[in-house]
Amino acid sequence: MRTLEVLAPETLEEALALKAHHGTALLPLAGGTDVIPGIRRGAYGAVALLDLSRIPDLNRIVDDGTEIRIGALATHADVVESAIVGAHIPVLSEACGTVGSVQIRSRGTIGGNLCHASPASDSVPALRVLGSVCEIRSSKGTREIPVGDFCISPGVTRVLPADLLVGIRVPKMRPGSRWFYLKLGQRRAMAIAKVSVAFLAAEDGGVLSDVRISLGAVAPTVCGAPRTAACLEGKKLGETVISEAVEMIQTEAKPIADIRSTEEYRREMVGVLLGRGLRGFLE
Amino acid sequence: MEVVAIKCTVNGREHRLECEANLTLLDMLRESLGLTGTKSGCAVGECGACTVVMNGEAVNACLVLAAQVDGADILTVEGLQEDGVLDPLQEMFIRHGAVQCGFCTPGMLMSAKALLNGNPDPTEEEIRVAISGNLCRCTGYQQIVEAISAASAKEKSREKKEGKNCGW
Ligand SMILES: Cc1cc2nc3c(=O)[nH]c(=O)nc-3n(C[C@H](O)[C@H](O)[C@H](O)COP(=O)(O)OP(=O)(O)OC[C@H]3O[C@@H](n4cnc5c(N)ncnc54)[C@H](O)[C@@H]3O)c2cc1C
Ligand code: FES
Ligand code: FES
Repeated sequence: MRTLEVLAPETLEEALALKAHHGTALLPLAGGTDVIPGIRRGAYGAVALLDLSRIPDLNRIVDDGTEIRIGALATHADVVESAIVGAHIPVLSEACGTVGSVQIRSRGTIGGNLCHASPASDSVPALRVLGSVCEIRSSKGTREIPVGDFCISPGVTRVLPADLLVGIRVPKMRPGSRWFYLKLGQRRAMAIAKVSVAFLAAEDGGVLSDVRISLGAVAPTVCGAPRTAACLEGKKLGETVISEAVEMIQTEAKPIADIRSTEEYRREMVGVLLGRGLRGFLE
Repeated sequence: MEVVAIKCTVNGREHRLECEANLTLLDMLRESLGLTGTKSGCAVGECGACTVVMNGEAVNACLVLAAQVDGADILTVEGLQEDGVLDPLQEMFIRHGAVQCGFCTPGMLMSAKALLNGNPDPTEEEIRVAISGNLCRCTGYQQIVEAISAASAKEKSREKKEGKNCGW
């Protein structure tokens, strides 16, 4: 690996001051599960690293009443093991539990997953259906950006050169919500998604409302499926409604083709995953 | 070339090192400390051969920068035995034929160690999840799962009750 400099500030203020001064020449390092393979591939050029892992409390998960606040440095394992997350936003535990392996989940962070901005980042579809908001900070102040607007293209986010992502605020799910996160990969473990579907809706007497659907690994960024969500709105779930939704999402999704899968296969599988998840509610 | 000073505990022993900032924990263990039990396979987090236990969690040593290890507590395969007595996991890997070429074994053992530390009685499914980041080209995994299961608390106490000798 090429030589590099690692700066390891002990406070967030110090980190933000360094970022304000050095901008893009200073690459944030959280768990390193994307950064270190990237350095090996020579993906970053001549950068120094800004190690965020020494900053206290940046990994905390707290219950703020109506919301859960997750520090950017919380690992996927922290999220999966958090009783607060499990009780109030279980679709996120489910999504983070599918990331890589035990080893990747013990190091990889939710902030790194967002900032890597891969269309296959597993936490993102779940955070998106939950209506989460990213807290971005610079030495000048804090900005908030909805997760749905955070990723611009693969690897590119709304985080500016002087910024750091400090946390994510996630509204609690309503009790009795219907939800799933389903991911299709090459194999069960250690697989980057070919397609994933996150679903969240309120349910009353079998009737769905406030339906939200996000798709991972289908488009260049995680995207929604608003027409399919609208087609399920106010409907009572049954075989006919499910078949209609499956057909609709297969026309609505505009999949990409890449090394992991073809466009046709992705289009087919988006429908299969949605159908599988919705039929699960009937059992 | 930037050098960082690191203090960390490896297998119960405190070490103070001066490392190049770009060194990975894997290189630090193998090259700086001579602990070559931890294997280098893919070097990008895919194979698990480099798995060690860091602050109680299984991690890929190839994906951790030595600079991030300052203050950490590391356990490697060399630290499993105590005064020449093998860890029950090592005993069971031998007894159940869970080692063929042996390249994946240190990583498998450390993934299993992290699992049993937090969950002394895992189900078969939990064992399979715990080693899902560790590739083995030889055994087909079944013997490894059996060995870990045999080293779990329930099995150990059953074997004890039945008066089985766990050792050689
Ligand atoms: C073998 C393997 C398997 C994987 N499997 C999956 C998988 O199944 N699903 C999945 O979604 N991902 C997977 N990943 C990708 C990766 O593990 C995740 O994206 C992880 O969450 C990244 O977090 P990190 O803390 O390691 O990020 P890092 O590597 O430290 O950083 C990632 C990027 O985010 C930036 N960054 C990090 N934190 C901040 C911050 N607070 N503010 C601003 N910028 C920041 C970094 O500069 C870098 O550009 C896998 C990776 C490997 C190596
Ligand atoms: S060498 Fe670290 S995971 Fe393969
Ligand atoms: S024993 Fe050969 S790789 Fe597992």
